[in-house]
Amino acid sequence: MGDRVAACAQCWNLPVVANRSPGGRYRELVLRAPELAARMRPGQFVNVRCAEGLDPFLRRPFSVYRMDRAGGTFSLLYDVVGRGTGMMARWEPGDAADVLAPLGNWFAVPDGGGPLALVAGGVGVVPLVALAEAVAPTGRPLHALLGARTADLLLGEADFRGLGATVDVSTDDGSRDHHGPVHSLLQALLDRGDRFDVVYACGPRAMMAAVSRVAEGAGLPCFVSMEAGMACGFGVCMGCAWRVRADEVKYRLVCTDGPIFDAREILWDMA
Amino acid sequence: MTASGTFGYGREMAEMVDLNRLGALVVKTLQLEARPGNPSPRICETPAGMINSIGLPGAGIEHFLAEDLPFLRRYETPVILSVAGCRVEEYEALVRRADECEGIAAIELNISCPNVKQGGLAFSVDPAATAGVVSACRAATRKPLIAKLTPNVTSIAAIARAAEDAGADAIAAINTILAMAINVRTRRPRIATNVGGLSGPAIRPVAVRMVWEIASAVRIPVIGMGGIMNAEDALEFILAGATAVAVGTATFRDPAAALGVIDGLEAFLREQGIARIRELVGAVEVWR
Repeated sequence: MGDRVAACAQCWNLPVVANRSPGGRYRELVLRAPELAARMRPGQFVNVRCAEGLDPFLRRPFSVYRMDRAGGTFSLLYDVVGRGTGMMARWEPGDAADVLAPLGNWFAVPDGGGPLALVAGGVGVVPLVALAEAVAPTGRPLHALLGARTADLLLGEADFRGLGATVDVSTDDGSRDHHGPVHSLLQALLDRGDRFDVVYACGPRAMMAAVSRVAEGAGLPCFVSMEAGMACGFGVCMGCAWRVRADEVKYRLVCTDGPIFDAREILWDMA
Repeated sequence: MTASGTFGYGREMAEMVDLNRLGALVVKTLQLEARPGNPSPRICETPAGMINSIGLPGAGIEHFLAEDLPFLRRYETPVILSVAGCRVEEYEALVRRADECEGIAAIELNISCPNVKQGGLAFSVDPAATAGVVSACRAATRKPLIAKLTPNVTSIAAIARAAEDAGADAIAAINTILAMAINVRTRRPRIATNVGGLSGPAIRPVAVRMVWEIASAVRIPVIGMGGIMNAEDALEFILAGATAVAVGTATFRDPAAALGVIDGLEAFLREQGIARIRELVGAVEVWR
């Protein structure tokens, strides 16, 4: 897990460089922010104000997707699911976005040169692309395992290939490659003798729970990027609490204790 | 001022907001012992607001006094403690402990939290129970005592008068309004405790009305809060009779929202040629 970060975030008014669709209903929002692009770490998130007015009232949290330090930009990949993201989808180059950033901790990468497994479910691919982007220049082997319900919902494959990662795909309906959930793909790779130093996972709760069980069974450290509804993003509303494994009832905050957690900490079957 | 539960213990905000610019900092409610808080989901968004049921998690008053208060004392801003308990004796013990401490300007009695099983709301829905907890705390401290009231009552003026008669130095109003939201597909309430407290601009007109009723009923100062986003919102409370205002849920959207309100108030006074904001307190010209 990354270091705990003090709330050093601030509100930025960031010019929109592009707001394009890489396919399906997903969109990539590219923002000009040289200082943030230089400072943010993979796994961190930002909180975007979608509405000019009061509705929707709260900001929307998004993991950082790509960071272009040389170009002074970073991007978010988002699924247009509701009114907030619907408003974002209409932003055009030249518009400005009110973004609270940087927020949360980041992926820690232990020393050593062994391969890293990046296991993504659907749009959970976003922070793992950021991680791959940061690790790729070191030459460390990266193996991306991408899961989706069907082949046309797959995301991030081109990103990982472009970063030199090995990519394996699983689909729930068997429309491409490994037929089954992505944790069974991880298990299959381990069974055939693949070795990893660490497993990183992001996706739906049940998917991360299953991946963390596979990793635990193989004795591998596993870090997950958690998601929860939140009002603030900087540790004061305390809305984004996740129950953790402990003798007593104990919660940690996704926004400031996370979003990256050691999977062994999380109590998966309870909110 | 900051509204309790929306600004942490100050430390979380110190790098984003100049704490010295605040009129006062009201910390998240403290209890005698550490509490984990309520299960998730704890919040949901609603039109122009949100419902929360956080359940007052915290490490307890001793942890605050040892770890957080020394940090806050480095700033000039008065620190107001917010305290809650299940029984009158717990409030009394918290107030007595706070009374011994340097660097605490006042104590707010949170007798209106809707999200804890015992205590909390049970006190400020009833004039006699309100008087009981306030008078017990009055005997335990000479520091200013603020009674924070719930809007979930028929007559908030009667509760405010009971608090005043029992020795409260000020009234803070309002806490959140009991509320519920349901996911129609899963048929589940959107928060784990089924009901929670509504806050944000959606509740502001209710809060302004209640502050007006309280200010008309008591002689002690009223601290107005409930959905304040900007200076104009704050001015409504001041005209209704509030001598101070607190910014709460707006901070979640904009960490520096309270400072924006201060700037806006100063600009308004300049624009209107008003020398002192006190001239506006209770200056609403009601229809006859």
